[in-house]
Amino acid sequence: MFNSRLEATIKPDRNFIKLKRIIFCILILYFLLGLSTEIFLRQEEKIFPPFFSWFLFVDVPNETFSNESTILLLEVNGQKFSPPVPWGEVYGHTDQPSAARSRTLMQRLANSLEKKNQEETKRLRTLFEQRYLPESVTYQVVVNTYNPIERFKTGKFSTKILGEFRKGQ
Amino acid sequence: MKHIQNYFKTLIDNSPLGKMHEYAQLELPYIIAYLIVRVHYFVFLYISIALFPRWESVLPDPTTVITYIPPVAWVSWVGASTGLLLIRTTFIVVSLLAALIPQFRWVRILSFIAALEFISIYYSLHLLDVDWYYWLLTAFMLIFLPNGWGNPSKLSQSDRQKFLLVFWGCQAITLLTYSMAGVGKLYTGVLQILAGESHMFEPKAAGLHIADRLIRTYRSSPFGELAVTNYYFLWPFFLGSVYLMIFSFLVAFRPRLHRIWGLGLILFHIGNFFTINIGFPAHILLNSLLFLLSPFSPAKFEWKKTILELPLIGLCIHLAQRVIKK
Repeated sequence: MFNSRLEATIKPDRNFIKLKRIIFCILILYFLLGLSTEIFLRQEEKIFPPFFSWFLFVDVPNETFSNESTILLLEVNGQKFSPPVPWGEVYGHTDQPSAARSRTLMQRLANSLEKKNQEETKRLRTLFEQRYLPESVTYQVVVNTYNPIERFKTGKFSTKILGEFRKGQ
Repeated sequence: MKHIQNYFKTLIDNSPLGKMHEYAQLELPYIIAYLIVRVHYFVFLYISIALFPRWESVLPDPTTVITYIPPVAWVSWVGASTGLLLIRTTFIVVSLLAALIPQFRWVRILSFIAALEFISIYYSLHLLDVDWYYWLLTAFMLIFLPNGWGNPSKLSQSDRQKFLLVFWGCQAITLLTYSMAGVGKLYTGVLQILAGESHMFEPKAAGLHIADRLIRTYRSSPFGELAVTNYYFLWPFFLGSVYLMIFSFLVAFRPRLHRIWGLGLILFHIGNFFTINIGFPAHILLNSLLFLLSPFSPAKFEWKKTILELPLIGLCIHLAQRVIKK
C-alpha cells in the first residue's frame, strides 16, 4: 500500500509527537472528567455540556417496581374530569405533555413531596405550573408502580397519590 | 507486564497513529479528511438556522423561571430574548466564517465556543438533548489542526500528518463516548445483578427498556409493540449493541474496522429510533462522515481479515486456531 522509499524521508517531527501527546491527554481528560460527572454531580447537572459520562439508559427498568411520577388533571377551567386525565393525554390543555423537561420536573416534584420538603415543593410547583399548566387547573401528583412489559401489554399499574393542588394556591 | 506492553505497542504500531507518515504520502486519505472537515463546518452553518427554524418558537413566556446551564449562565443577566439574539446571531456569523475560512485557528476556536453556547441555550430553553454534544467534541478537537491547510495542494507532508492525526483524534473521541456508554451499562448491569434486580444480561432487558420508555414518554413507535411482545428475538441485538459500545474505542486503532463499526453504530441508532423513538440523528450524521468514509480504511474490504480484527471475537478465533494446531 505504501511506498517504503518515501516513508524513510518523512519521519514524524517533534511537533507531530507533541500533538499526539496533546490528543492523548484530551482523550484521557475527557474520559476522567466525563466519568467524574457521574460520581460528583447531582442528577440534573450530569448532562451539562461539554463533559458528560454518556451513561444513558444504563439501568434496566425493574420488572416488579418500576416507578413513574406523573400528574393527573382533575379539573380544568371549572370542567371536572372523571376519571382524571393522565398527563400524557392532556393535549389541548398544555402544549408539551411529552416534553422530557416536564417529566424531569414531575419526578423532582414527586420526590420533594415524598420527602415532605415544603419549600422545594412550592418552588417546583410554581415552575411546573408556569411552564406547563397555562389554565386554571386542579391536579394530583401521583406515583405509578408497574411491571413495564405487563403495563405495556395490559395497561395494569397501581397508583399512589402524593398530593392534590390547585394552580397558584 | 511485558505481554501488556507488547500488546499496546503492536496496537499503536498497526494503527493509523503508527502509520501516519505512510498515510500522509497518499493523496486520497488527506483529501477525504480535508473534505469531511469542511463538511463539518457546513453542517454547523446548517444547524445554526435549522435547529430553531422559527425565531419566536423558542422564546419563553417572560414570566417563566428558566434555569440556565453553566455555559450560558450569563443569559440570566441579560434575559432570554437578548441572550438568544446574541447567541444565535454569533453562531450564524461564526458558522458562516468557519464554512468559508476554517483554516484559521481563531475561527475554529470561535466556532467551538459559539457551538457550545448555541447547544447550551438550546438545552436551557428548548429541549434536553445530548445528540449535538458529539459534534462539540469534534469541534474542539479540530482546533488543533495545523496552520495553512486552506490550499490542500500546498500543504507539506509533515502538516498532512498532523492534519490526519487530528482527524484521527476526532474519530477516537467520538468512539470513546460509546465506550464510556458501554462501560456504564456493564458497570450498572453488574450492580443490578448483585442487587437482585432486573439486569442487562437477561433476555427481557431490551423489552423492559422499550416498554418503560414508551410508557414514560406517552409515545408509540413503529416496532415498539412487536419488540416488547417478542423480546427474546431482541436479546442478541441488545447484547450486540453493548459489545459494539464497549469496544468502540479500541476500533479507533483498527482502521480495517472503521467502516463496519460505523455502520454498526448507525444501525444501533436506527434500531433505537424504530423501537424507543430516539433517533440521535446528529450521531448518525457524524458517524457516517467519520467512519463510513474513514480515510484510514483500506480500499479493499477483506472479510477474513476484518473478522480476525474484531475485538474479543478475533482473539477467540486466534486461540481456537492455536488449540487446533496443537
